[in-house]
Amino acid sequence: MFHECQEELDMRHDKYERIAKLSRNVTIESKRVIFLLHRINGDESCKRILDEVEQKLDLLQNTEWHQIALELQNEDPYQFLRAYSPGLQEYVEALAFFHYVQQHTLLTAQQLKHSLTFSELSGNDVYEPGIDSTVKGPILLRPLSVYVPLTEYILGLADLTGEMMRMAINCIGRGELSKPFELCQCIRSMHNAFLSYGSHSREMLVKFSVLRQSMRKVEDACYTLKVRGSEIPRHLLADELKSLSHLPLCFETNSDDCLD
Amino acid sequence: MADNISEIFSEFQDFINEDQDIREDIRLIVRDLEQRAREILAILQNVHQPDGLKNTSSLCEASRSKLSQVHDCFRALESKLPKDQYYRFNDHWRFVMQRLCFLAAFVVFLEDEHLITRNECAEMLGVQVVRQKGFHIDLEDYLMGLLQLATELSRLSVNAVASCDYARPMKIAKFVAELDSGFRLLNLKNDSLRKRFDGLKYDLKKVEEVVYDLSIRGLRPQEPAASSNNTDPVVEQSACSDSTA
Repeated sequence: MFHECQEELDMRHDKYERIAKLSRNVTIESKRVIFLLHRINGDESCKRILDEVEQKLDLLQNTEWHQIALELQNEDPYQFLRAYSPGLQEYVEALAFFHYVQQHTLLTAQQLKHSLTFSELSGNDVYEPGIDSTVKGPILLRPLSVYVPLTEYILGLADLTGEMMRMAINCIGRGELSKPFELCQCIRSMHNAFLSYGSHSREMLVKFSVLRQSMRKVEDACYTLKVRGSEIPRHLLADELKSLSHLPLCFETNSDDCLD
Repeated sequence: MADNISEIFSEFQDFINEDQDIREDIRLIVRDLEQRAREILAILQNVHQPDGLKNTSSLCEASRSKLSQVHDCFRALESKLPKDQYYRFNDHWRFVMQRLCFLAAFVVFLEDEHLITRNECAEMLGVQVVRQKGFHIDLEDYLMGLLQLATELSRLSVNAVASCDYARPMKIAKFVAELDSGFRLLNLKNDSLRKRFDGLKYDLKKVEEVVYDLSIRGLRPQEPAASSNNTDPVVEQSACSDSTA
């Protein structure tokens, strides 16, 4: 009897590990997408970078996410959610950021779900991970998708505000002085929406407090622009902002460590 | 963009509200389950006393009838859950499920000394074994219940000796040793199940000490199924004078 328990436990743990590894790859690639998007500087680089980002995101969907979807087939996704939640939130952040830069709208849950839905050929010689026999039968098209709880989507959007904050500060360094106000408004709307949720979970509380800090930084930057903007030459604005926020600004480098 | 945002976030608010409602319903049922589990535990505690140890069959019968009452609770629980979302909410009932597994396993052991199988356990609780068939018993919860049984049995072996039942510790020792070798086949991760399993060796050690104490004093029964009568003159009279059948 214990042999059966051992097999079942091993299969469960192995699947969890496989999904966790795929999720780590998703996290890494999503972070790279975000760095790329921050590198946009003017219209010429914009188109080129957006194309590259779209390619990266497509690749991510068709490789890692597709694999994860296959692993999660016929399983209760909540049993494995903790394995792919970090990757999922990072991916939501990257995809939403891309969406915002490209279309100036916020990624919807439907659009997210669509990006993680694949139509799968089911029939002869289809490989299913974790199962020895190949599936035999008539060839059908069935939808295969990664289950995305709404909470994960919302938490990913919360992370997006951090990137928006970085973008706002970067814009100032580049001299684009209207964008920060736009971004500030966006972050503020999200902050107000989060206020109404109360304490749903610890993760949400932590993200909310980070969101609030990002919002304050952008609001302070907007204040500086408004009040001091006309006094200070453009190239010194960055230094002014630096002294105000007591943090290194990273529009010259693309390090992810600062402004956290 | 602002409309877009407020729509997205109000949808989430609905989601949170619904989630909280479901959890409230679940909590109510689980509280009921916990109460019933406590009642069964109270019945079975009697085996640690001399008169209880002699009447295990009536205790088991009473426990079984109470266990059958939890079937309705599980059916109610299943009805509250959205389909295929067991693992979204299972933290609520994980503890009481483990407790009920332990109680069922205890009853089965007291009846005929065999290790309860997952199918038997599921049947006694009125749930499924396999997730696809409905509200099921998670493998790790079942295993945790078995580990709780080991702890209870190590305590029982001590009290059995005090109640002059010298055969029972032998049976318990054999049972817990088999449980231990079964568990050693499993590849556990560093989670609560692993920690609890680490405690199993202390339970086993305790039972083996009891058996050793009996053996060196010549109190060990000659045959495994022997009654508690002993012809050895070393047997202490005073403690057992009330318990002669």
